[in-house]
Amino acid sequence: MSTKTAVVIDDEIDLTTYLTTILESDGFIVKSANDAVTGEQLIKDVSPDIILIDLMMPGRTGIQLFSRLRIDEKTKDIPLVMVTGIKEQTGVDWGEIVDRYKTRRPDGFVEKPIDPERLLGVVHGALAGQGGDAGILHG
Amino acid sequence: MVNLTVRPSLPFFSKLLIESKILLLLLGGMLLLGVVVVASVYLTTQRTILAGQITRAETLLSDHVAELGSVVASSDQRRLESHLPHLLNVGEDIVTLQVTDPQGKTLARISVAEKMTPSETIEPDISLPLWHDGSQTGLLQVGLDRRPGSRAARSAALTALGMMVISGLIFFGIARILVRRTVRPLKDLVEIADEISGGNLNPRFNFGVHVNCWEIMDCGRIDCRAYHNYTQQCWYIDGTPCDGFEPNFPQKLARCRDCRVYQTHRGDEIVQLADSFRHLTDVLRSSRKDLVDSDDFQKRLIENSFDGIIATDGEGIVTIYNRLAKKLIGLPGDEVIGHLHWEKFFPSNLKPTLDIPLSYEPNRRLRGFAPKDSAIMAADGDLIDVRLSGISLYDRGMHIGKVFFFQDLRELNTLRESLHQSVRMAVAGQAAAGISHSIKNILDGFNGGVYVYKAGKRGNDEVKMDLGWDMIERNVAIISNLVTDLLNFARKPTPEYAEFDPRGVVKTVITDTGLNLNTQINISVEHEDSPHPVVLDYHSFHQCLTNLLINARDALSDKESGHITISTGQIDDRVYFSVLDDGEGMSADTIARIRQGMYSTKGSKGTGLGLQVVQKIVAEHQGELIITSTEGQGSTFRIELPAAVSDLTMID
Repeated sequence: MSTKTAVVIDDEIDLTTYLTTILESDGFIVKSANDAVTGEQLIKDVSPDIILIDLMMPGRTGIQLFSRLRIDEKTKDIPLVMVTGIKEQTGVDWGEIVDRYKTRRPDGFVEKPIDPERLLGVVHGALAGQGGDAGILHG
Repeated sequence: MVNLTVRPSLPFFSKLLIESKILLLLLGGMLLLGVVVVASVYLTTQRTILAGQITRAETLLSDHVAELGSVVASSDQRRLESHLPHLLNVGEDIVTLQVTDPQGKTLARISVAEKMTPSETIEPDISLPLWHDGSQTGLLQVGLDRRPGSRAARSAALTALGMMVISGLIFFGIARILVRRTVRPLKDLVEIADEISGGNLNPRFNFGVHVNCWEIMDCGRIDCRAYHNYTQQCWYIDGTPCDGFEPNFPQKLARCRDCRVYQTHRGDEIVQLADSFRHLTDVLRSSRKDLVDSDDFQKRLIENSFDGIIATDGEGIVTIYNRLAKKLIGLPGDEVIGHLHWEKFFPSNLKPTLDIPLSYEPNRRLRGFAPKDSAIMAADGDLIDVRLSGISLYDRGMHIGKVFFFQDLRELNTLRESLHQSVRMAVAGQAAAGISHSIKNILDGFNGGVYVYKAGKRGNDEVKMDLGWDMIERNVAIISNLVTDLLNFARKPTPEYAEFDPRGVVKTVITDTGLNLNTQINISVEHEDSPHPVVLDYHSFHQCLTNLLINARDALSDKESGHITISTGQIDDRVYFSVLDDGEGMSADTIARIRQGMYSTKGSKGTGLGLQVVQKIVAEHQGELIITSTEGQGSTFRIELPAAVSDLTMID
């Protein structure tokens, strides 16, 4: 298995460290950023195999970053996993977002608190193309 | 309807003789004078007639005196008695003849029976001496007919009396007309005035004058709009003086003028008086109607008010007791109005609080009390929670009564309680959601810390082990802060207020938060010179300021370096603490949401509880939290507290 690269974007340093450590334990090379702008640049620089984004971030939110990545030719095909703490609170209408940007749904969802095994399961599923439009909200 | 009889000819007379009692007196005097004149004329006439009769009889008898003298001298009684009847026929006025001898002895006597009453004694009108051959033989005494029956005298007297009677009748007639036209309307007006003062504002104006203008009756002009149409005739419009009392009177009057049969009355004082009088009653009637209407309206207003209303007179006895008051108290109106004192409706412990603001003091400015929660006593002795206000009524400085307004709070209290309950449930639910979310994050921190630590340990990576350990420590701090916030939010602490120097408070808080050690953040502190001491509960206020500083720090967390300015100072009688950051700033909508609580801009890191705690503590200090922010430039959170206030109280 060739070494894969992942980019983790989360405004919380602790969570970034946690996610990074989990993925590194699984053999990923992980780059991380703590805000959406830096994260977007990082993704363009690194061209990772998979992206993990925190849905709720101050400033440009995870959803905005998601839609930008999905409409960018360079990044639109990179599997993307949303890390959500509060899906029930945000009530994100993915159908509406997908319609608006003519794009795919996130390739996987991971809900906090993070369970390392489940996270890796979702990440591998996304890499294997089992997520995408058929992606199931975990929780 | 209205009986109008006035004609334009009347004023001339009525103007001359307004007071016809003078006329009557004059008339009586004239009649008396007339009687005296007639009597004296009559007497004078009688005397003249008698003198004429005597002269005439003497002339007629003088031819027969010589012959009668010789008859008496002959002493022949039969001749004398047969001679006398001839003498009676000499003049028609002669009614008795008596012949005496010179000594006065009656020799013969004769009289005309039909010309004198039998009992009449003869007083001779004429005495003629009888002569024969140069010596007096006797005396002839003549009685004349002195009845007032002489034709001349009779006809003169009759003429005078006839004239008297006729002129008396004429005068009486004129007086009667004038009385009718002047005194009677005045009398009527007096009666009407009595009726009006007796309360009847619809008196009958018998003389029918109520407008000073009219159309001539029976003018016969067919082209007149008022012809046979009484409602169009100016005088017919009841209760409408010429200057217009009824709304459409001017138009009607104009139509009368068009007919050219309209006349304006000028100058009859009585008519004008009646007119003014009628106008006056109309105004009175209208005013009374207004008063009655207004009174009715007020009564209805009071009766149908959604407040219970009790009003009293100056003595405190109830005069108004409306439907809702009755419903609440349960006593019938007739037992209350005019009988009970207002104090009956309030429990004794409340009376002083009501009595003092309502008692009479001439110079008091505040004459009542604003709505407050109180209680009212029902007929069965139950106390009913009410919202009560009261006011003392004054008229020209005199206390004339009190009014109480009250609303039944029982239903409202139930509603309020259920609302509180649902708000509490909503707040609790929101709080639970926020806290569980926050705890999830902390759990991630702990799990992550442990995971990273273990991963480091496995790979003998000390850097990772430290990283994991730091995560655990940080989250211990986060959870302890959360617990403190929760406690602060939930508890009702007994605050210990004391005076503090705001500079000292700020310094301690900065040190305790460790912000001064953070090299990424530039902290500046600005104090106004010699700030006023501030009264606060140190423990809670410390938490309050700490939360604001942590918020400011978190607002800067995306930046490589940020600036926080903490300043204190005084505005008027308030001391402020201001925390300014140059972070992202917030929109007005965001400010509103963070004020509501349980909303955080910190993503998954915040609970929204911190600012709730700040607001609660500020409120407890009778202060104010002012939030200003510009998106992209930063935010200012300013706490304003009263300076040196001695009686800080808890706010629930």
